[in-house]
Amino acid sequence: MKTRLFWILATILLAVVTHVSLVLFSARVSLPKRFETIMQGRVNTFQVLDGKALAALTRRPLKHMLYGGCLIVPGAGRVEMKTSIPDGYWSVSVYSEQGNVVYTLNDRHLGVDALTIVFQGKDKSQNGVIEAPRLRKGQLVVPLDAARVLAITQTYVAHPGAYRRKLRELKATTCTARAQKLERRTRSGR
Amino acid sequence: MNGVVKFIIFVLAGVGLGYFSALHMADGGRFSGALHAGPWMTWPEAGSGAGSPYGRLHFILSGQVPPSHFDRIVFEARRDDAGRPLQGSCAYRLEGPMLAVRWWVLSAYPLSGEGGGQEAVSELSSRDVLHDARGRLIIGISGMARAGNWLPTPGEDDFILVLRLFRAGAIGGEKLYHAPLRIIREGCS
Repeated sequence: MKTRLFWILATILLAVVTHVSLVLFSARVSLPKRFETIMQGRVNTFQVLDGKALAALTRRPLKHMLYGGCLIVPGAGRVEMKTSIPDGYWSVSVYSEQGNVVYTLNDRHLGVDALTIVFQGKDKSQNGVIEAPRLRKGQLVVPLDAARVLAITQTYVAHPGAYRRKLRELKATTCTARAQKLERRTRSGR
Repeated sequence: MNGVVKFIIFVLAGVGLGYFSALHMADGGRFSGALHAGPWMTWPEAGSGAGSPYGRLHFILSGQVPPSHFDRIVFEARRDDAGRPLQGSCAYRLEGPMLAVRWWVLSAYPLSGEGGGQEAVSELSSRDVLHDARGRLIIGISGMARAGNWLPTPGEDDFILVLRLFRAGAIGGEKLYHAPLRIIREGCS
């Protein structure tokens, strides 16, 4: 009787451990690898997503949406994403490797037609305090609490005639890594 | 029964129970944090640390990154109002008032062979539809073209409907509990 009870309790315990592990760690295990597949190993480089890269991002894409991405690895510096904001729906969502959306912005939030988003890496002087995103000299500064994040832009093509123009606008988006030295020189030069 | 056999049964039962119970919860099981509204299901704040971890698992397992809850709400339906699976060989009528949002997109994806890319998607947006005199929306879903608002089925097999509501402002609370549109099966060929 005691032996049977032991095996029943052990089975339940193993089931709980399996269940919790799957729920808590599936994103942490699968997303870093998926980010690499989406961006084909490139970091701090913007690219339009289609084919395999888009399939890695989502198996349920919107038919008339154009997708672009940039795997942002700022290190101790920063990464600048320069983009034009087209007419109609446009958004950028920033994902952590745990699957959390750490930041989202769409065309209605700022009311501008071009934008530079500065992703600021972890700075030792921050002492673990992460500031809220802020507008500074026409740039949106987004301090990051993670070593790598994935920025995904989406642009909706409302009618087929706009496809080429929207694609051209999306392709003109850039991601550029800047070293922290430049930031410090700018600060000291003020 | 010797010890080795007992141990193998123990591992299979424990891992299987844990695995399938997690899948059940990620599919919107009771107490999973999913909101059910008629045949529709949504995961509030799946992309945030405050949301249900099963919501995140749901999107990871279905090959997607969780949607940004700041920007949109995603409803999914695999069954009609009567609880029958959505089949490509059947015709359906979706009707009801749509929530007041900035815009929305209704998409149909084949359940088998998901990953056919953008070509496999059948899609209709708020920019493409007409409302009746009372402001109600009626959308026909079928393999054969029909008059009015029409969404083609994405093939002969079972499919899933995904309704993405893009926010104009905050949507939430009790409104999420109301089915965005009824899904009525009209007949099958």
